[in-house]
Amino acid sequence: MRSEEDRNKRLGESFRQSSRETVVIVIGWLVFLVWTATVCSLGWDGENEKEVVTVMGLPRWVFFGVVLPWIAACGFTFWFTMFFMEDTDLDPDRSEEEEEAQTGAEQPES
Amino acid sequence: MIILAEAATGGSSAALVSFLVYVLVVFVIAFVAGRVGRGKPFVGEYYLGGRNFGMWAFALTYAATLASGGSFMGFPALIYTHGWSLAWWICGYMVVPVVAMGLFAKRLNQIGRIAGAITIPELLRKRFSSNPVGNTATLLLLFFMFFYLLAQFKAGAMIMQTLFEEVQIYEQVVSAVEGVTRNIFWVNQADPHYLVCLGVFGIAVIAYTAYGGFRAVVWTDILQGLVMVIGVLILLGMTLSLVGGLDRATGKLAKQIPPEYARVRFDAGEEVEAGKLKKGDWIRSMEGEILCLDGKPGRPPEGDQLEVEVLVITFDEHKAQLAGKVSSEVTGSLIDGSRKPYRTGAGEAGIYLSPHGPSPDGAQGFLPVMLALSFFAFWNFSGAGQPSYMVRQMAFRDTVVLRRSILFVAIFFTLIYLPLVIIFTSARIILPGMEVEADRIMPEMARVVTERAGIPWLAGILVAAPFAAIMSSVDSFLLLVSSGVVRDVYQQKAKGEVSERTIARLSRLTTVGVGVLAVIFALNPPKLLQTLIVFASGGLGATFLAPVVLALYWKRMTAPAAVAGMICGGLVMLGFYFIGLVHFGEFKEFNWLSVHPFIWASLVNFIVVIWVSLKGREPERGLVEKYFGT
Repeated sequence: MRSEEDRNKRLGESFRQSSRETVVIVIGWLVFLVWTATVCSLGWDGENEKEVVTVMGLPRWVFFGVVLPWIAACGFTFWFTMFFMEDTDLDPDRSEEEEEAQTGAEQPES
Repeated sequence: MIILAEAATGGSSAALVSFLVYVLVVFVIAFVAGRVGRGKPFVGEYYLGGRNFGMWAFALTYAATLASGGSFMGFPALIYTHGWSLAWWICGYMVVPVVAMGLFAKRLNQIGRIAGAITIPELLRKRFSSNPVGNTATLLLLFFMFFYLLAQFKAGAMIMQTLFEEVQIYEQVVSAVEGVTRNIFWVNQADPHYLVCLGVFGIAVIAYTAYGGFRAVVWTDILQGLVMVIGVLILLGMTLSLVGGLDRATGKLAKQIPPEYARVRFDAGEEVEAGKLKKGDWIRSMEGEILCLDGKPGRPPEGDQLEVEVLVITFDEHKAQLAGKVSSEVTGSLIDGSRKPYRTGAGEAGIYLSPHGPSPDGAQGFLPVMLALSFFAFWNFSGAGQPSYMVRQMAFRDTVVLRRSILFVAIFFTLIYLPLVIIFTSARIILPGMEVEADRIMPEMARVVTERAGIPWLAGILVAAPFAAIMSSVDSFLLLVSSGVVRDVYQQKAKGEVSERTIARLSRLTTVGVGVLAVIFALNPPKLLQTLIVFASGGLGATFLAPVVLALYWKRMTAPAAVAGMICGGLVMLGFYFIGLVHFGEFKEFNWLSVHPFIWASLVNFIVVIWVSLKGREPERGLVEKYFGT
């Protein structure tokens, strides 16, 4: 059996890692907010029907202010989920025997 | 359903057959899911699927639930009306998976397991060891969630209406229903076509949700999620082929100018014919303008001739396109001084390509900068604060599943939302003049592009995409409300041990009861679908975001702070809609300083929670260690 102290220590470490991930998520959100807002709000000034400039068939502000950051956001999501986010024990109250039984057995895909 | 299918196989609608096949498959999946769940502990299985979902199940149920009826009905209607500005409006979705899931999922799942909680109110109750916290959460959840259900039921019924149009047996059923309901209070106010579709849709979704529970909902979500992506991508390809490519579509849209609104009066000699007109019919004015009726002609309080609000087509190319639709039998006179050009964009070519978009009443266009910023926050944090999505985050198996699912959902949203903007800006070229019935643009586009391509049966699959989105949202919310009643109200109040059998029976009965009640209220729902959806999701986010995020990450938060925050957040949201009601004379949000009420309500909620927590006594050490460790 795990001791109470060991359980709390593991849970505390998992909590601190989740908090670090939260900070990175909020920074990422802010970067994309500023990017889209800056390009979309400033990118249109002075354009009219005769001056509409398109990039790959899209209005220029859509391409640089929406499509490009959207692709970058997918890249950020890939980096965050595959390289930054850490795996954690979600059930700290589970006994070692239960954990072994769970990880030892093949997991059915629900 | 069977009768309708028979009618369809008679040759009246190939699209209807393919659609009914799809619905049948959903039922089979739900039935199998219900059988699989048998023999397992009821509550955990019925409401949370045993907390053991893998990537496909977790990712697709999350994505399908988030992409609700609004994404396929209200959102296309807005794109159609306001053009490319909707690309900016929706672009917050680029980070929704990483924000909404990354911010909460790990801690929610962990705390849910430690507390043994099945619902969000239960999680809050146990996290703070406080019944008032759980009760407040349950009440507010039931209140806002009910509005969401109404909107989804309305959307489902509207899609069915488009599909069943002109099917002979359907028209016969409608006539019969009209005869029966003519004298029934409340019911007789609804259009009988809508009534029949609402009934069919309601019975279908309530039945499979009540039978199969969470597992059925998740399994059907997998199919529905796949149908959504495939449907959107097929529609994108067909639309671009029809308009001659994206470059050409953008060029044509750049020339368009917005229509105008006005009132038309019918002469005494034409009143009989005018009385037969309905919303969406096309007529020509005495002055030669092409008009679309925005309602059924009626007598104003101070007049003796029939009048009606109309949309006036101002763009020459659209006039030529629509000339064939105009009824030659009836003409009306535009009332002097009634013409109302758009406040932003009137006569301005290129306005549909601008980031602010045209607007009938907004001085800064449809999307001022501050409102765009609000929506970037709204989609991410209101989504993150929704109990229906939170509860899904308590159901995945481990963090490997979570990481892969976030990436999967990011790709899913990219494949849905950007194509939707392209499709429905192009819809302005293919189907002009649909502003008065913009909520019907999605099924109409599906019907028109498949007919022109010579494959009308495909419309059934394309229409299944929004229908799938609506079904997957309705079933999830139905279950959420039912779990709120059974788990957070009944089980809390019940004295002594309650048997599994009693809980099972009660859960199914509650699911049916809540569904029926929502159908009754949905008989006469507010006009604009998207308004209801934004109100309900904003209200839920404003109520739950701050208390849940701080409950997960802040050790110092207290139970009184959670109660105070939820009440203040909910009330501020309601307050802004009440001001909107007084200010605009209709159910609409009031955007103070062009900022959406969700932002103000959430800010108030965060401030109240932090202030009340710091003023109160520190939480018990044992409780903190239980959920945060050391």
